[in-house]
Amino acid sequence: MINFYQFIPEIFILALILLTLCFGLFNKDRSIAINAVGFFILTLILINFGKDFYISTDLSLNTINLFVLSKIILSIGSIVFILLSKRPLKNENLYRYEYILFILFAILGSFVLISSDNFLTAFIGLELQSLSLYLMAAFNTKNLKSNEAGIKYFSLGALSSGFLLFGISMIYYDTGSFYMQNLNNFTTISEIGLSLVLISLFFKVSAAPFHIWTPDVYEGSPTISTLFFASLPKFASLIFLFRVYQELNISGIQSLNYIFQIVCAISLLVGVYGAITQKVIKRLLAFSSINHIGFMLLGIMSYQFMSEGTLFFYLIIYLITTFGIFAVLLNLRTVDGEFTKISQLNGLRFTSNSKSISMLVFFFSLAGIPPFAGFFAKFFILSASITDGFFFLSIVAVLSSVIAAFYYLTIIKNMFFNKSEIELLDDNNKIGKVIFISFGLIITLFFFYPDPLINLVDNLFK
Amino acid sequence: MTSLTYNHFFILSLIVFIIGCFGLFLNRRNMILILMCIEIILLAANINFVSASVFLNDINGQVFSIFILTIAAAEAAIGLAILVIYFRNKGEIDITQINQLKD
Repeated sequence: MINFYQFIPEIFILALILLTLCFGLFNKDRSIAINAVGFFILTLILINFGKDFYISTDLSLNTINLFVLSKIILSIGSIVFILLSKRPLKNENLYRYEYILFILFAILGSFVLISSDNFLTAFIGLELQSLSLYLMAAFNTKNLKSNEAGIKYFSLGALSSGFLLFGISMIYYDTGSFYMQNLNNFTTISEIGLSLVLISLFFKVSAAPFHIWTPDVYEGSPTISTLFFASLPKFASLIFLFRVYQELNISGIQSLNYIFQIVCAISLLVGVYGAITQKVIKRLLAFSSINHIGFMLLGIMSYQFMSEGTLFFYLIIYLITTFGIFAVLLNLRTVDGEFTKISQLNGLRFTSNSKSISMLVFFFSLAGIPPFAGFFAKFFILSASITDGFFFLSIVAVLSSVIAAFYYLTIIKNMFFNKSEIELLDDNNKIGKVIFISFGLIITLFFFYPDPLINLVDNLFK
Repeated sequence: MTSLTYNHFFILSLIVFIIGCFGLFLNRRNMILILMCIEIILLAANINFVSASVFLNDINGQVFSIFILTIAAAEAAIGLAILVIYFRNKGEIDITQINQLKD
C-alpha cells in the first residue's frame, strides 16, 4: 500500500520548485537563500524522521538506510552547491533564477531515482535529472563551447536513454514486469535487455568505454555546471547502479558479471592514460573522475564480504574532494577571463597560501597518499575486493593509482616550485573560501578523528 | 495464412531500433537528423511496450508508453532549444563543424 507520507522529501522539493518559480522572478538573491534554508530543513527532516518515511514498505532495512543516507548526502550537497553557485554565475553574467530551478529539478530527479523500486520511476527520475543537466551544460548561451558541450551531451545522453528504454522493454516482454523484485529468472532476451540498461547507466556515471562525452562536456560547460555533473547526479546514478546490482543479483549472472568487470578494468586504465597528456584542468579532472568511477565499480562488485559502507565511504570522500577542488578553481580568475589551463596553476603558492595548501590536500587525497582520507577510501575498497577474490582487478586498480599519482603530483610540484607564468586574480569569494578550507580540514583531520565519519557510515548500515 | 504473434512485433521493433542506431552513426551531416533518429529509437521501445502489453494482457506496458511519449516530447523540445542557441552563435548546424572542444 502506497501512502503519501513516504513521498514527503520529494514533495518538499517540489514545493521548493514551485516557490522558486513564483519568487525567483522578483528576487534572485532571496530565492537562493530560500532554497538553501529549504534544503537545510529537508536535511533536518531526513535525519530525524528519515526512517519513518519507509516504514510501511516491505523493503529490507539495509535498503531503507541506503535511501535515507544518500538523500541526506544529496541535500547537504545541494546546500553547499547552491551557496557556492552564486558568485561564479555572477562573474560569467549567467546569474538567472532558472539555474536554481535546474539544480532543483536535477536533485528531484536524483531523489526519485534513488528511491525507485521499478524501472518506470527510475526512467522518469533519470530523465528529469539528465534533461536539466543538458540545459546546465548549454547555460552559457553566448559561448560557442558551452553550446557545443550541450549538443554533445544531449545527443549522446538521448541515445543512452533510448538504450535504457529498449532494454527495459525487452525485460518487460520477457518477464512481464518491470518491478525489480519480480525479476529473477533471466533468459537470453532479458539478459540482453539488462545489459542495455547497464550500458545506459554506465554512460550516466561516465564509465569507460562509454565516457566519450565526459572530457568535452566537462571542458565546454561553465565550471559551476561541471562541478554539478561531477558530483551529485553521478552519486545518485551510482547508488541506483548499486541497487540494480544488488537487487537483480547480477553477481549470479555470468555474462553480466563479465561486462561489469571489463568496464571496471577499462575505466581504471582509460582514466589514467587519458589524463597524462591533458593540458586543460577540467579535462584532467574528467579523466580522473573516470578512474575513480572504476574504483567505485570495484566497490559495487565486492560488497558481499564487507558492508556497503566501503562504497559509501569512497563516495563521500570523492564528493568532498570534488567540491573542494572545484571551490578552489571557481575562486581563481585570470586577467582575461576564466581560468582553464593547468600551467596557469604554476606558482599558486605565491598568490595564495590557503588555496595552494587546500589543493595540495585534495590532490594528495585523490592520489591516495596516506595521512589523507583518500588513502583510506582506496584502502577499504581494495581490501574488500581482495577479500572477494577480484585479484586481477585489484592489481589493475593499484597500478592505475600509481600512474595517477604522477599527474596529481606534477600539478602539486608546479604549484609549489615553478614560477607563475600568468597573474592569477583572487576572486575573494568568502563562501567558497570557507567551503574549501573546511573540506580540506575534513580530509586532513579524518586521520586523527576517524570515528564520526566511520560511525556515520557504519551505524546506518546495521 | 499465419497469424500475427508477438515475435513479429518484437522483430519489427528491433528493426526500427537498429534503423535508428544506424541513422545516428551513419549520418554525417545534419543535426536535425540526430533528433529524428533519437525519436525513432524511442518509437521502437514504444512499439515493443505496447505490443508486449497487449500480448501479456497487462496494462503496465501501455502506461509506460504514455510516459515515454511525454518524455520524448520534452526531450525533443530541449534538443531543439539547444540547437537554436547553437545556430545563433555559429550560423550553421553542420555536424562536421562541431569541433571546438578537442585536446
